[in-house]
Amino acid sequence: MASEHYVIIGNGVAANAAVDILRQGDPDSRITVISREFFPFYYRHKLRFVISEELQEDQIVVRPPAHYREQNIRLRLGQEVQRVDLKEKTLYLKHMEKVHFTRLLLCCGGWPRIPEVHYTYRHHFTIVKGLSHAREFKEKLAGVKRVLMVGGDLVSLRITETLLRMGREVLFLIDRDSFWPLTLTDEIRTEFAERLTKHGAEVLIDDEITGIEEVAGIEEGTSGYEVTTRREKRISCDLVGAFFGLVPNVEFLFSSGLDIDRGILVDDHLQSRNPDVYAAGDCAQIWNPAINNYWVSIGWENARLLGEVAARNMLGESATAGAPKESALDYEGLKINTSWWHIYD
Amino acid sequence: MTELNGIDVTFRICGAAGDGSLAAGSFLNRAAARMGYHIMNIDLYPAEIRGFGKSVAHTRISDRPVQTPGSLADCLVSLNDLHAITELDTLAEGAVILYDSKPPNYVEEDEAIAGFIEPGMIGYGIPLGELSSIATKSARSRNIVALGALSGIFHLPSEYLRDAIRERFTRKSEEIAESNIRAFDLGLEYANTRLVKADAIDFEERVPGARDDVVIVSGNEAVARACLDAGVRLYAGYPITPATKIMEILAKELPKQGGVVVQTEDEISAIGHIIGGGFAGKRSITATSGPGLSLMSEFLNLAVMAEVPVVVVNGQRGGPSTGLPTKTEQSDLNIAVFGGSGDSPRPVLAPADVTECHKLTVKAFEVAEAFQTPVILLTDLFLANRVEDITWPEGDLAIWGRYENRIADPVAAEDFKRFVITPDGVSPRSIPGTPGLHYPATGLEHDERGMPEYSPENHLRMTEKRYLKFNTLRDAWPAPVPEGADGELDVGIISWGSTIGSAREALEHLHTTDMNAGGLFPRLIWPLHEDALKEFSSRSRNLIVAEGNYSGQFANMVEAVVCREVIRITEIPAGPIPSERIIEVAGGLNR
Amino acid sequence: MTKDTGQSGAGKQASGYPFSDPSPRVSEHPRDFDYIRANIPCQWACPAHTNIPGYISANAGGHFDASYLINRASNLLPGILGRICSRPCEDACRHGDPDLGTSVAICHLKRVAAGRREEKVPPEDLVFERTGKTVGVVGAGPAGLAAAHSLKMFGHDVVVYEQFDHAGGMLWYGIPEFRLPSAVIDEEVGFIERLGVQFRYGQRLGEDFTVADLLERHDAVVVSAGCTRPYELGIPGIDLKGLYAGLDFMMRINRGDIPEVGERVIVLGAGFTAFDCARSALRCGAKDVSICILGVEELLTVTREEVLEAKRENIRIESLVRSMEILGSGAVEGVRFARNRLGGLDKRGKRKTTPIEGSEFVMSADTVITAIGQRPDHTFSASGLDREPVFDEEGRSDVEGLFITGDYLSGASTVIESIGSARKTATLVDEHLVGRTRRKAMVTIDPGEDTHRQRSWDFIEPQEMPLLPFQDRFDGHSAEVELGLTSEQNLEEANRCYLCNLKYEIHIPDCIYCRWCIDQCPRECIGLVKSVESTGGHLGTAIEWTERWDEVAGIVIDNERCIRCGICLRICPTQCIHVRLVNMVERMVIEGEVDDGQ
Repeated sequence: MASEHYVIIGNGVAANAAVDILRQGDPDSRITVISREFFPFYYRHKLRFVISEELQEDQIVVRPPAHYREQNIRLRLGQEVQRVDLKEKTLYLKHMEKVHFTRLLLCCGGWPRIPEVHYTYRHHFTIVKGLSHAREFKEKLAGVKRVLMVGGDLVSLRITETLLRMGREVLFLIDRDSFWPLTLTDEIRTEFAERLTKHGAEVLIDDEITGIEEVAGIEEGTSGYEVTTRREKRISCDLVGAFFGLVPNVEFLFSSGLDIDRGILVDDHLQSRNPDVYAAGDCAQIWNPAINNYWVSIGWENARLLGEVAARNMLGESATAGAPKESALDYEGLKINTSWWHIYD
Repeated sequence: MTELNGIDVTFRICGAAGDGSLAAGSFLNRAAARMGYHIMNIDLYPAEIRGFGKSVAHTRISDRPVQTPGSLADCLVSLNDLHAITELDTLAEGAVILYDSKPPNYVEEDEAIAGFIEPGMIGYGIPLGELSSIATKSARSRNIVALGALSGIFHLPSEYLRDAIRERFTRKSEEIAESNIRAFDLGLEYANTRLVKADAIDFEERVPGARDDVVIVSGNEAVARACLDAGVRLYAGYPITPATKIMEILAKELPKQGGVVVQTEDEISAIGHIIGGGFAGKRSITATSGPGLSLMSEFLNLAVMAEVPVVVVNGQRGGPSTGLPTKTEQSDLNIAVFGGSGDSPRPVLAPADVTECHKLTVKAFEVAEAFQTPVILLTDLFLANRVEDITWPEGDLAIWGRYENRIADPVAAEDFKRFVITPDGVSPRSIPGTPGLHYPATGLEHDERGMPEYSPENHLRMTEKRYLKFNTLRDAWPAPVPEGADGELDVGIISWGSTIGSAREALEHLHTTDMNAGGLFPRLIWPLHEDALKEFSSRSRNLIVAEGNYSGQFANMVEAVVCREVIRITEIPAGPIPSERIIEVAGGLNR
Repeated sequence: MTKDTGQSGAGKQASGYPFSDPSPRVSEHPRDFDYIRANIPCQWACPAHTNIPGYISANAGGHFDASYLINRASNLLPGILGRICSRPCEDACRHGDPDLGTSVAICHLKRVAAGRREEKVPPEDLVFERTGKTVGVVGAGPAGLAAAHSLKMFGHDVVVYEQFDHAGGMLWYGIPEFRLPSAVIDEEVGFIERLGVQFRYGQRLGEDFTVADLLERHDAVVVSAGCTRPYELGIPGIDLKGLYAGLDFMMRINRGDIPEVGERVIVLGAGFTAFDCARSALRCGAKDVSICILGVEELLTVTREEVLEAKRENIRIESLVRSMEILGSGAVEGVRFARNRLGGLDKRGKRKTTPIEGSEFVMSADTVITAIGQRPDHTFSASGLDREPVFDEEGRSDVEGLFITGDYLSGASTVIESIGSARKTATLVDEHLVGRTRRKAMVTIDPGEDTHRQRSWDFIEPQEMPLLPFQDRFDGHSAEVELGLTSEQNLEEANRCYLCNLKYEIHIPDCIYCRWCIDQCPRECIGLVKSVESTGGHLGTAIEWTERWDEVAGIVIDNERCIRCGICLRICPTQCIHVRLVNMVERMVIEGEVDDGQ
């Protein structure tokens, strides 16, 4: 049998869990990991400490590139797959290189969701997903006194905490899209607001942005924003952080022939419509009879498990994803499910 | 190697022939030198005149004088990924790679340099082709876009680069110049607005100050300029890499001074021409490379025998035979020194850098005339093509002695003995056409009047005379001055020609260690200053001879003089020997 | 500039090299049509075969009247199509090939031509003498209009029978004003009326007249009655209050009879009508609108722009759901759904979906709109006849003089498909009436010249359609959302077009093999070849590439890769590169004009 070339798109926890299993199970195969980020595999949840400069970048690294060399794994960092041709089993990279695979594992994760209603001024939003965002955020913070947080998700709560600790004013706008994909009841919303207020953030409930205008910032050469809302408030701030959750990063798979809904549709073996293509982690959309719904994983542990399951199946075993264990973020007594999000709620 | 306390950056601009990598390199040199930096540039290009081979402009820019082009690159510019990928192992730690982020066609796996960039390198992707097309309606100015990007990334003052570009293209047309400036500006703007600087190279911080008297010249250009300065009247030659450039320049410039350039049918004819010129009392020169020098061997003997002053420049390249026409080597030393039939002594000079290419060419004419002999000037491809910032030498070149053209006095013309035996071996010569001073000049052994004479006694006398001249020259040419530490040396490094730069750089480095190191770098390679060599050898616990050939041609000569085995660094890496190699060898020696 | 090969004395080459004759040609050879399919994919993809590169270059030159006429010659309704066309051309556009970027916004450019033309009435001469024959057309929708127009141009007298009081059919009644203003419809329908086509409004087939009546009145009858029978959901609860059929819903709005809509609206369906209904519901005052689709968003047939615009208006798209029951007592209270799984392909090549057992859930709503499509009511065409006629694929029947066309023939399709279909039918009808083919598709090959297209234009970003600000959209139903490209945008977008109707050729006898063109070609589309053979026709070649000099017989441009940048043409030192202008056109046939391409 000709030797396999496993290509993994993504270099997060799901990808790395899979890579370990693949290397172990098929020592002579070619393995290539392609990641959009030009930075080795790192702890994403520690990004806020990079923002606050409590940690240096290299302190959040899980695995340095040397690890991959030792394991005879080709690590392609900072490279973006633009198109997948399943018939030719070829990936087309943004820098115009082709990569051929025999089996493909998609661990391309999520990307910050910007609701379409905000498209007109989306370029004024600052997002935090990857390390480059954290760097940018950190850099921008230098000239920032007042931050407007819109949306609201797990990351935003942590960042708010960090910002307040760094002595910045935080204004939190909880609108109808906040805490997507959860639907907040009025009660929970009020509770959130109270807790945020207790921490020192200012909270606006039940309002939404209708326009953002860039204006000169407090320091020369910086820029600030004038934000208008549905309730005709005018808010001045130096930075607008957008936190509307993550959506699977699957746009490059459109018209590849894979089934894409919100995420990549896979069965409970994490196999896609194409027998040589699997998906794991935050980009996979899985039907789970136990919860009677499609689900998309959230969180480190889920992603790791899914990565392993996918890899085992790629090696010819038969592992199933199973139901995710329920775990919750305890935000001072308020429980938020951090295990998965349902596609429809 | 970028050092914290200064700018020392090595660029490699790599493309296929026709991508303009060499042109980009030349703009970079010019601009950097005008800013006041020191530069050394060497272009590496394919053997074929037109083809798709790799060509690389390698430029080192430093705020201190540079001895070598440096071996590891701090910045690789890829104008052709397939070629540039082969350059990846020449990169220094943390090197910057600049590449076309949007080439027009997909390439196969592992054929894009962007695919090889990993942490530890810094990649800047720029849509070179697209920006070029926008600026000049074709992809031909990708090199210029890349220059603009370099200017933006490293804060290389853009005006100097624009001037260099404008100067070059204005010759073609104003429109071409402007569209190239546009290409430059697009690259600059892209770098300034779209790239996040991730490297620490910053020229703007420390521009050493513009210099006006600086010129950017190659070894070949320095030789050609020296010909003009020395009043050459005849150049005859047949084109050959790497010497052709000398003829190209002289063909344009020499007639303006009333001189003549003849492109002959071959090298034999070329040297024949200049022997005629030298015989007629006019400064005459030819330039060639190894294969040409072989063809000239017999006529060189004629010049020795007839005591005719000519200068032969030999730009060495890889051999034997056609060999490696575009790769440098120092392997013609044996043929230069020993290539004659019979006992055929001829002085051999070897310059160490571009400035010396000028100085020693001038000196070669003086020596040729003063000692009535052919003189061989050994450059090599690396030296001939490499570009440095220099100021044209002025005034006295007495550090290499003073020589006078001894011309016979027509008043005392009775019984003119052209080859009269004198205490120093030099006989006054006459210029043909001087009444009463005519004489036969042939390749036959002759008596003092020049008449054929085959007796063993005469042959011995005349051979002695020819060697006596040679000793006179050695005495007149100041002995090489040892460099580096005095007294007992842990290591003494002897080198010649273009390898001297690497040896000097190695010495500089060794001085930062606790090693006592010194160097001896003769420019008059033959005849050798034996006493100087012996003295240096006696002070050196370890004696290294570093040169760019396989068989240790100079080492053999040195060993014969110093009567000990030397440590040989005799390498043919198809480029200059890196100083790191010499440091490595020296560092590993017992003290 | 092209060089006249006559000057070089080359003329026709003995080598059999096929491109040496620069004189204008007209061809009907199938191979030349193959060339069009491969090289001008936009025009081929257009059901009406609009000469797209032709009108885009007119746009680029600011010749909007010419551009409008080029459009109108094929698709009749450029102003309308420039807004609501389904744009199969843009999917085919070579600029959208994976390594070439994004398709040209062909449709938006069409709208520019319609909007910026100066002649308010397009000049139109009837090509043929009046024949004295008359044709009855049933339905004034896109197909009926196109059939009527063509038949009138052939010299026949045409009467259009329309059940409503306005021409346009689905254009008028099915598409909301904020996407297609009624003035645009009126104007372009007016041009047809002006030509002398008669319209009889309020005439409903089967009620006010029958097909048999028309067959008596006219020499031929074309039924283009469209698709009027809605598909039925076939689930419980369809008689509740607050449930609308999509087409009815739109028709009421377009008539000004605004339906009552609750706060939460669910639209069932995935086509343009579903999106129109959803966006219209917002304009009726709904707060929360969801479009529920069986499959997934990626496989929707509506344009991406339409999906994005709906989402920007805060409409949610719920994918992989199947409605099982409309809930409520008396009035709609919600919909019970099951979740779907994607399955294999159905007979029409569309993805099947199957509900997952036990996955049912309920979404509450006060209004449900079903927009799952319509089909033709074929009882119409039999009205007044003693038997049901049988139709062939092209719409001919076994009843003398009776034809059907458009959606009535094909089932629900798009406006442009209907127009394409009707134009074909009109040719058949004319053939039937006069006994010979008087309109034919042909390939014309003319000497071309350098367009001075610049390579940099290939990197122009696609122009974004200017949109009506949000706050101004929801006051009523008529504020048009897309504002049309500005003239600067028109120029930028038009310049993006490669102009694939140009064909670059190397005249090998003049070539000195310097290979500058190969070096400079950005697409690697020029190469050395072992053999070049004409495959028949004027345009087709079979190319066998080589890199071995001992095999080289020529140097050729592969036009299927070529992006018409013109660099080779301008750099060639011997000017041996020529340009041909290749167009597929429909021509009124004048005998003897066409050569057979051999």
